[in-house]
Formats: sequence, C-alpha cells, structure tokens
Amino acid sequence: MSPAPTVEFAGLTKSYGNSPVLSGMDLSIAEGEFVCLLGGSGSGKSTLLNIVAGLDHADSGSLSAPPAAVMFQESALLPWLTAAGNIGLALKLTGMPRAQRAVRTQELLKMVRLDRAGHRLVHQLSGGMKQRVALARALAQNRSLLLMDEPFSALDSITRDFLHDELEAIWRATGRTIILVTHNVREAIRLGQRVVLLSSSGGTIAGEWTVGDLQRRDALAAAALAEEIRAVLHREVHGLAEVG
Amino acid sequence: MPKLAEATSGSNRLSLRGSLRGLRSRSIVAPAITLVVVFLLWAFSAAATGNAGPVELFASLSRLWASGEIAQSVATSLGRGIPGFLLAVLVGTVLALALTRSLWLRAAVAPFMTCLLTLPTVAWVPLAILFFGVTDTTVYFVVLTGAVPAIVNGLLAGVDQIQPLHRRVGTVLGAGWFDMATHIVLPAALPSYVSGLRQGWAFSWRALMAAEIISGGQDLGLGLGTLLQRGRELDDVGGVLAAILLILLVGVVIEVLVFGPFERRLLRRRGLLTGGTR
Repeated sequence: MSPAPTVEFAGLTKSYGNSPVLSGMDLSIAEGEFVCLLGGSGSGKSTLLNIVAGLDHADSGSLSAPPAAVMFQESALLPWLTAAGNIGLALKLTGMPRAQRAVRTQELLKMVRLDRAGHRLVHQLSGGMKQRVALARALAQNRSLLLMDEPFSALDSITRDFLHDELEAIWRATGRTIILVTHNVREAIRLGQRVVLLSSSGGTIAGEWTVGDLQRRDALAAAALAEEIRAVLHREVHGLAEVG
Repeated sequence: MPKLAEATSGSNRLSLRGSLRGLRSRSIVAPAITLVVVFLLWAFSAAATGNAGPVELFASLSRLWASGEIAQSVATSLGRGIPGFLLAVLVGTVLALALTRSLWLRAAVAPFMTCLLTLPTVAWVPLAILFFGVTDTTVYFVVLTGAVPAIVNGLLAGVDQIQPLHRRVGTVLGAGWFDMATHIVLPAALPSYVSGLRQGWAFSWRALMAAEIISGGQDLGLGLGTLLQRGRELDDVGGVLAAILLILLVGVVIEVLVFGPFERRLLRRRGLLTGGTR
C-alpha cells in the first residue's frame, strides 16, 4: 500500500487576466516523496508552487497541503543579517527559545557544511554558499513539506552537482516531502523519484515518469529517460510556438 | 573547494579594508585642503578690500572661548536640538508606520508631508511665537515641523523600495504583522530611513537656529542663534562669523560622529559601499 498523499490538488485553475496559467491541474504527492515539476517558461510551475506555499490563491479547485517551507530561485537571504542570523530568524519565528536557537543554528549550518561560515554577511558568501544557507533556513522551519523553486538555476554546473548530492543526502536523512521546480531535465531525473511535466499551453500535466533505481545507477538509462522527457517537452514548447 | 572560496573571500576582505582606509584618508584630507584654500583666498581678499577676514574670526573665537560663551551657547542649542530631534524621530516613525498600514491614510497625509518639506521652516517661527510666545514650546514646534516630514518621507520611501522577495520570505517564515515590521520591513527600509533622519536633523537644526535668531534670545538663554543675532546687533562682524562657524561645526560634528559612521556601517554590512559611479 502506498503512503497517504500529503499534497493533493484537484481541478486547480489560475488565470492572470485572460491568460490561463493552470487549467484544471490534478496531482497527488505522497509523504516523503521527492517530486520534480518540469516545464518550459510560462507553464505555471512557479505559480503552482506559490499556491501550495500560500503566497498565491487558486481561482478554483481544491488543495490539501501541510504548511510548507520554501526555498526561492534566488537565495532570498536577508542582506542585513549574517548566515547564522538568517537561520536564527527562521528559528525565532517558529517560537524556539533563544537558548536553543544558537545550538540548532550551528547544527543546521553543519548539515549544509557551513559550520565555519555562520558569522559571514550575505555579500561575503558565494552563490553556492548562499543557497546552502537558504536550504538550512528552510530546514529550520521543521516543516514536513519543502518547496523549492529552481533553487540551483543560477549556479555553475560544478556547484550544482555538489548541491544535488547534499540535497539528496538531506532528503534521505530528514524524510521530508520535497517538490522541486526546475526547467532542467537532467536535474529533475537526478533528484526526483517522480518527474511531472507541465504542459506549456494550458497549465495541465503533459506527462509523468517514475525515476527508478536503474536510471539512478546507470548513466545510459538516465540519458534514455532524459531523451524521452525532452522529446515530450520539445513537442509541448514547439506546439505552443505553432499555435502562437 | 571551500579553501579556494575562503581564500578568495579573504583577499576580498583585504582589498575592502584597503579601500576603506583610502576612503577614510580621502574623507579627511580632501576637505582639509578645500578649507585651507578657502581661508587663504578669504585672507587675501580681506587684506585687499579691508573687510573682516580670518584674523577677526579667530580673535572673536578666542574671546568667546575665554568668556565661556562658546560652551554655553553650544550646550543651550544642543540641549534643545537633540531632545527636539529625538521627539521628531519618535513622532515621524510612528506616523510613517501608521501611513504604511492604510492606503487611505497615506493618500490623505503623505502629499502634505511632501508639501511641508518645500516650506522653509523659518516661515513657522513668527506663527509659533504668536501662538506660544518666546518659549521652549515654540522651539520644539519649529523643530518638529522641520524634521518630521523628512523622517516620514525617508521611511515611506524605504518601505516602498523593499524587494517583494524579502516580504515573501517573511510570509513563508510565518511572520505576523509585528514580526514583519520589526524583522523585515524596518531593517530593509533602514538605509532610506537613515537618509530621512539625516535630512530631518539638518532641517531641525536650521529650524532651531531660525527660532533662536528671530526670538533674539529673550527667555531662551544664550544659544548659537542668539550669539549670531547679538553679533549683528552689536555690529561685530567677527562675532557673527564666529557664530556662523560654530553653527556649521556642530552640524559637521554630528554628521561625522553620528550619521556618517552609522550609514557607512549599514551599507558596508549589506555590501553596498563600493564607491562612486566609476
């Protein structure tokens, strides 16, 4: 029996003016699952994430999701605080007493391998370090659902690979449910247990793939799956161009 | 890889320290050179025309220092200027925060704050004297009317310029209204708020001097404005020049000791102190 869904939406619609962004989206995500939402620009993947995070509202449809921690595309760290200060603020807003905050901040910094950089100001951190602090801040909220909106898109490929390993390790260690939005097929296969491709034309689901152990272990199998997903993605994007 | 990142960051720190040292020496040496040049030109011009020059100025300063009037007048003016300014900070900050809470309130009040900024504060002095007489209330009234609009506008501009992403961070971290105001909005708006405070101080200092000059010191004691007015009445050019210099010096000292360092520290923490437009 599969685990009960922790996030479930049915018939979700959202429009900006006369432009529909989501047109009846249905999706269930199980507890502890790592799902990657893939899609071209304007496919509604960030809108969907914002709705789940409570930063935006759907026009119609039903949504069931626990309170979520969010990691944005840019690091979105508060530049007047240090790395530790950013994490400490998240802990403070959970109501954690001051005495426990310093210890927990250090634990979280250690988890993202920045335990010696807590005193640094945001502008003194590299792009990869900023995203690791942002990840630690999201983990500080201790919420079972973590939403990530293209968190690694601005990073170079070496740092990105490095952070993929860290994120996977953290996901396995904490058992959180993760929804990660990306436009990178390789990243989606690398991280997700399931890849959901959003349609570029109408804000619906264009395809779903399960990433098995074979694709994780075998580069050729991963490349074949990536090729298959890319073919559907190209059809989606080109189809939209022809309509446009 | 972390070692490389740390080394790069270390060299950045060194170059930052070097440029700050350069900035500090530039900010002392360059104005000092200007001052020397101005005094020399003034001395030559005074010698050629027979008008009062630096010699008369220094003689008056020496006389006022010996009589204790410099200390007395600076203490009197700052004794009113600082509490008046702090009161204006309190009123301006509370008012600005209230304006950010209601679009209607903001639409009703904010345009008048901008209008008040364009009105010279000296214009309030006669009215204040008619209402309150030559009393401390008059002084505080003109200081408030001078400083509050600048502080309100500074904080409002800062709040308007907050990155939407920072507000979204506050929301996803679960901040309520109070936490959003204290942990996100006010810190994010701080650079603009400090500019407003700096402008507010300048306006309140000018307003205070105007009040002291116009009231002529009756019942207000010997302030710097009174010293200036007394010099005019006694036809003492040296005394007038000395009072002007002291008024200027107090403004510069507050800037150099309070606003300048605070703003530099604020911008440096955010990685924004990078120099000019080059």
